[in-house]
Amino acid sequence: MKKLKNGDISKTSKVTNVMMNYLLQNGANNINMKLQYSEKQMMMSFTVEYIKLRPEDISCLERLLNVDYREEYDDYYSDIPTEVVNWSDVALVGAMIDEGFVDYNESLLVLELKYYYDNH
Amino acid sequence: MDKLLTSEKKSIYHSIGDLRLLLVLPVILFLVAFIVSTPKELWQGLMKIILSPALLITDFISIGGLGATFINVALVSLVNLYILKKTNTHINGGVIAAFFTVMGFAFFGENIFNIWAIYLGGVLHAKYHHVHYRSIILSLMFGTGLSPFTSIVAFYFELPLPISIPLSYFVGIIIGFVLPNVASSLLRAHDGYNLYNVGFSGSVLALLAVSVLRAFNIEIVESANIIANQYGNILLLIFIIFFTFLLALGLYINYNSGSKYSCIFAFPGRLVTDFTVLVGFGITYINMGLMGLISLAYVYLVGASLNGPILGGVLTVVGFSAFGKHPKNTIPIFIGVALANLLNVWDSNATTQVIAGLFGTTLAPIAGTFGIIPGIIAGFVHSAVVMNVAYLHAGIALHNNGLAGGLVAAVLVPIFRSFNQDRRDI
Repeated sequence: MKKLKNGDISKTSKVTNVMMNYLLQNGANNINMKLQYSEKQMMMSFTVEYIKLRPEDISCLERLLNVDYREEYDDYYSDIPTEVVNWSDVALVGAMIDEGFVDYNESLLVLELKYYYDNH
Repeated sequence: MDKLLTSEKKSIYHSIGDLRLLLVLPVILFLVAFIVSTPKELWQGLMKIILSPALLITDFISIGGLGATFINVALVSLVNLYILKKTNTHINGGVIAAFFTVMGFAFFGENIFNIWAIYLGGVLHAKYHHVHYRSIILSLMFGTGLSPFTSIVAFYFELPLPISIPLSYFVGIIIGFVLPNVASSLLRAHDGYNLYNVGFSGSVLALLAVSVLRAFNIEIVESANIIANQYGNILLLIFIIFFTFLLALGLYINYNSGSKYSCIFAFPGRLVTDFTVLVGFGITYINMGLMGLISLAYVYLVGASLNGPILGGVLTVVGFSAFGKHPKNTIPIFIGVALANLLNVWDSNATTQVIAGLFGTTLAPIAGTFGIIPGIIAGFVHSAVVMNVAYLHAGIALHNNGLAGGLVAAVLVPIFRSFNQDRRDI
C-alpha cells in the first residue's frame, strides 16, 4: 500500500473540501464520496442523487476541472482555507488534478477527479 | 457562466500565451535606456545601483539615473524570464503577477546583484524537500522583495567585501530556503484576502530577522527616502503606450471586442483567481491595460509624479490584474486610501501615500467579496497601518504594504464575514 506524503494529503483534503462546498452550496443532497488511492493514482468521486444545475454550470465544471495541471499552484495554494466556493476555486482544483469527469442526468451528478503521481 | 467561456483566436492562443509576451516591456526599456544615456553613464549608474544598500524606499532612478534603472529592470526581468523558461513554467495569472511585481521592484530595491541569493536558496529547498523548482517559483519570485536584505549585509554594515558579499549571499540563501514554507503556512492568517501573501510572509520573516539583530544592538537605519520626481513625463508617456498596447492586444485576441469584459467583475478576486484560465488571455490583457491606465489616473488625480517606487506600485497592480484585481474590486480601495489621505496628517501626494494606494489594492478581494463600503473601509485602515509597520522590518523588505495588508485582512475579514453569513457565490 502506498504511503501518502503530507503534500498528497493536504491536496486531497483541499480538493474534497472545495468540491463538497460546491455541492452543498448548490443544494446537493444524498452525497456519496469515495476516495481510493493506489501506487499510481488518487481518485476521488462524488455521486449526488439530488442537485439542480444549469447546462452552463455543467460545461463550466467540465472545462475548469480539466484545465492544465499547474505545479506552481499545487504545493503553494493547497494550504489556503476553503470557504464560500467561487468558480476560481473550482479552477484551482482543476489546476491541482490531472483529469476531471462530469456526468449529469436528471438531477443525478457524478464527479470523478483523478491525480497521477508519476505525472509530476 | 457561458459568458465566461473564452472565444479567443485559437491560432494565436499559444503564441500569445507564451513567455515571449513578457519580453515586450523589458526590451522597450532596454532600448530607451540607450536613447536617454550613454553606455558609460549606463555602466556607472548600474554600478551605483548595485552598490546601494537598497533600503526601502530607494528610488534607483535617483541613485543611478533613468537609463541605468531601465537597464537594471531589463536585466532583472530577463533573468526571471530565463528561470521561467528553464523550469518550463508556462504563462498564467500567477506567473504574470509575479513577473510584473519583480519588474516593479527592480525600480526601487531589487537589482541584478541581490536577486540571485533567494533563487539559490530555492534550489536548496527543492533539493532538500524533493520538489520540482517550478512548484516554488512563484514564492521565490515574489520573495525577491526581500532582496534588499542581501544588499544591506553586503554594503550597509561596511564590512570588508570578501566577508560581506559571501555573508550577504548566505543570508539570502537562507531566506530562499525557508520562504516557500513560511508563505504557504501564512496563507491561513488572512484566508487569501491579502493578494501579496509572499510579501506578507517575507515581511514577517524580515521582522523576525531585524528583531534578532536589534537584540544584539545591531541597528539598521529605519528607512531611506530617496526619490527622483524629475522624469515623470517621460515615464508617463512610456507606460501609457505600454498599457494601451496591452489593451489593444487584448481586444485583438478577443475578436476586436470588449463586450464580454464585464464578466470579469463576477470574480471577487480572492486567492487563487487566475484570469487567464477563467476568462482567457484576451480579457485578461484588456483588464491589465485598463488597470494600468486607471492606476496612472489615480497617481495623476492625487497630484503625484511618476517615480521608481510609484511605478513599482503601478506595475504590481497591472501584474495582479491577471490574478484577481479588476476595477470593481480595486477602485473602492483607491477611494478608501484617498479618503484617509484627505483626513489624516500625511501629505496625500507623498510617494509613501501614493504607493499605499497602489499596493493597498492587495486588499481588492475584500471589496470583491464583501462590497464597496467594506472595500473603502479596508483601504482607509490600510493607509493608516502601512505608515506604522516599516519600523518593524527596518525597510529591509519591499513588501511593506503586503505586511500591512495581511494584518488588515486578518482582522477585518472575520468582522465583515460575520455580517455575510448567508452569502452564496456560485
